[in-house]
Amino acid sequence: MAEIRVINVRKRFKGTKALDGVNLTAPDGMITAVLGPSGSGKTTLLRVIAGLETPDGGRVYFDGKDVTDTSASERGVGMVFQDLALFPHMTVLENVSFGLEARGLSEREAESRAREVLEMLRLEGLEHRYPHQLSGGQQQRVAIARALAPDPKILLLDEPFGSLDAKLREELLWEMRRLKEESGFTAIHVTHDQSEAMAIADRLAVMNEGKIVREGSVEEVVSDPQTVFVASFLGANVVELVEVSPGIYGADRLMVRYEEGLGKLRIGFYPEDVRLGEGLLVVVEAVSKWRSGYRVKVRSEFSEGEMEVWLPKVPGRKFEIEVRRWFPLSDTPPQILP
Amino acid sequence: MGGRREHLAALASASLAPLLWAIAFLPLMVSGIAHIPEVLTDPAIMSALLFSLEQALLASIIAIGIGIPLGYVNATFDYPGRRLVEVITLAPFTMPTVSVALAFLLIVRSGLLPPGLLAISLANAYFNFGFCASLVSSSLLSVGKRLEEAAEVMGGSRWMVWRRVVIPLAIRGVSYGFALTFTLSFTSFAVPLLLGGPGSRTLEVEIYSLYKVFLDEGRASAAAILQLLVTMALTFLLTARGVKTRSLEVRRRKSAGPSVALLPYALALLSSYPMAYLVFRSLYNPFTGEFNPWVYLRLLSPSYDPALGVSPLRPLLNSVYYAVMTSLIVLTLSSILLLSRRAVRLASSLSILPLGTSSITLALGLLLLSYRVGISGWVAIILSHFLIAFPFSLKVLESGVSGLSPHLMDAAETLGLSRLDTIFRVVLPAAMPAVLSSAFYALAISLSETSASTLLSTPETMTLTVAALRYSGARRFQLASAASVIVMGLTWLFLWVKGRIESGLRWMRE
Repeated sequence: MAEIRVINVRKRFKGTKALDGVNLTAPDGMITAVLGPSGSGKTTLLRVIAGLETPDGGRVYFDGKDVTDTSASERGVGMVFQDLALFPHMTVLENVSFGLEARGLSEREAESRAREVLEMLRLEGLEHRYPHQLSGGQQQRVAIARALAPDPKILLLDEPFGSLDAKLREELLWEMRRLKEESGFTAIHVTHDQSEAMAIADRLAVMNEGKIVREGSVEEVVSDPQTVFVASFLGANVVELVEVSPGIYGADRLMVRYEEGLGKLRIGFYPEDVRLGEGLLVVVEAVSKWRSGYRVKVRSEFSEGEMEVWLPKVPGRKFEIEVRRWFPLSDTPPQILP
Repeated sequence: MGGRREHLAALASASLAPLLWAIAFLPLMVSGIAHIPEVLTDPAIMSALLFSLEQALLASIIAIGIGIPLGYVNATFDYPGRRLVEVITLAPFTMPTVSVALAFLLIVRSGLLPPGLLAISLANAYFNFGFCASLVSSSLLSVGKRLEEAAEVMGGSRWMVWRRVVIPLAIRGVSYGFALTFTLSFTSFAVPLLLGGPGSRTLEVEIYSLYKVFLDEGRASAAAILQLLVTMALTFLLTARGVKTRSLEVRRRKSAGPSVALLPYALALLSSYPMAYLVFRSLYNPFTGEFNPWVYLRLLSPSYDPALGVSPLRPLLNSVYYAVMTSLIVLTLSSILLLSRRAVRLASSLSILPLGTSSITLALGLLLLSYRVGISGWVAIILSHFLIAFPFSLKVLESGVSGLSPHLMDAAETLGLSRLDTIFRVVLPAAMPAVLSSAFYALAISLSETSASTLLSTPETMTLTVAALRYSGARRFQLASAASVIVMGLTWLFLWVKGRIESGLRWMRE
């Protein structure tokens, strides 16, 4: 049982604000993905939670217990580093039993537990290899095994799958879900890749410029990103509509009813949420084949720049699309009227 | 990668060497500053400075002139015996200066070369040409077939590819080789000491004799300051655009018969001649016509030898002792430095400066310092060896640990290990091959160090390299050769061990 709570954490490095008052709750037994562009402070946040960085202000709680002043070695978290940081002079077995021995298990106990974890990660037979003798995917599994061996309540992952090819990454993301079900740890997974975040996480926290700008369950955040930043980071198209009559906003025949006189309204929609039909007139800029259909870059008079839509076929250079699902956006979250 | 306390310790050891350099230069400043105008108008010193520059320029031109074609052939063709040629032509670069100087002195005495400028420049070029060739060839190799191919695919003609891609990349190796040869030749001491006559004295020799022969501390110090300024300016000018060369073997060599490699074969033969002649002369006395391998045993003799003022065994023991102490200091400092990645970088950037300064200047500073504050002779020698070896050892350490993850300490900590345990169980063992290899490098450098030891040592504290010089001064060339062959052998042994460790170190780079 472990809930992670970060309250108003601040951290500066040589004058630049890495964390600017971060609040985050990672509920017990869930995987929370912290998503953000590079330089948004997500790795710093993870290191503060691990106890590897001391925050300038704010507190960190594990299960209601203040651990802000507890050292990393006493927090009992498992961490998988971006570059894995496997001990190059130790075998796989030694790497994995290291944390167990550090926590006072005898060599014998440590080894048997380590073998158990290695089996869980399908690494049997590689116990006596050195890290440099393993493939990238195997090294990744060893790093995860090493972090999981002491059976931590909290697992922190710092973009550990960044360097893997798509298939291997997919496989390990499934593996992480399975391991979570088996071990029941609470995890925070830092990444800049939205598809990775959605594949692994129960909850999303989107970071930008040292702040968490949107937090919630994956469904909540995806269906209502609220701000332009979060929407575009999640891969949505952003379109600006003008008010054509009170409460009605539109572009061509894309009409939206919105109960507030703003003059202009920004909406977002995902590439998959459109179909051919009567609605927004678009001009094709580029087409690429994608799975059973097409990814089409289009431009409309009302969008700033290009939009991407996914369609089963492309009828011509100009055609109309119907946006089936959309959400209103603003630079600051709008007050949506019921 | 560490906490605050470790950072402080690491930063302190990073600044130890530069601090010692600064302290060693203080007494030079004190005794020399008043004599600078005097030195600047002294025709003997000015002509020595000019001669130093002259011979260094000639040596660099010869070394690069030979290095370019040799490097080009080695990078382009795979001819029979290429590896052996590379090993033989690179060997002089790793030879102790005293061995090179003595070998060339013996060649001069055998009538093959006239003494003076040409002999000095040739000896200094001999030292460096193989390394220049390897710089040229590794910068050509790092161009890689892929870049050449890319340029060709883009429609470049063969000539254009050469002009725009190959040559500009090779030029980095060439200019670095030139700069290195120039600086090393400018500050070389044993070569001009043995091969120079009146009228062909370098600034190094001038400083040495001003102090040792004329006992003129003031002018020697002033000349040393001048030397320091000139070297610093040269180092700055010549290595401002220093390059890192990587020897990626991506360029495929064309296989070729032995006919393309006439030059490399000839150079390999020529470059093995001085080494072979030195070994030969250690066994053979041309005046008595006697062939006597037992001369090596005489170097182990504990009985007094008037040519040295001490028993011959003493210098050997001293040399080993200094080398071990130097390498222990390097080992300790390297280990502390490892606590912080930043400290390794800081130390290595701080130590670039001393690379260019001369050992004689450093030794004079240490000598004056030791008189003023009462440091005993052997401490001053060890300090000088440490200061000379440390920058090189640091480079080895830095490249050795560059493949280690900067998060090893963090990882150990999240696994529940205390800081101290982390250092002893993770950081040091993981970096041990790099530390050991840098320590062996220090061992080799200390053992073959000649210039500083010559100025600093008394008969009691004499090194084997100095003993070789003394024997040569007493015209006992067979013993001199034997001593320098021992130095050469031990140096190569240590470098070989360092190489073995580094090939085992490859796991750190992956």
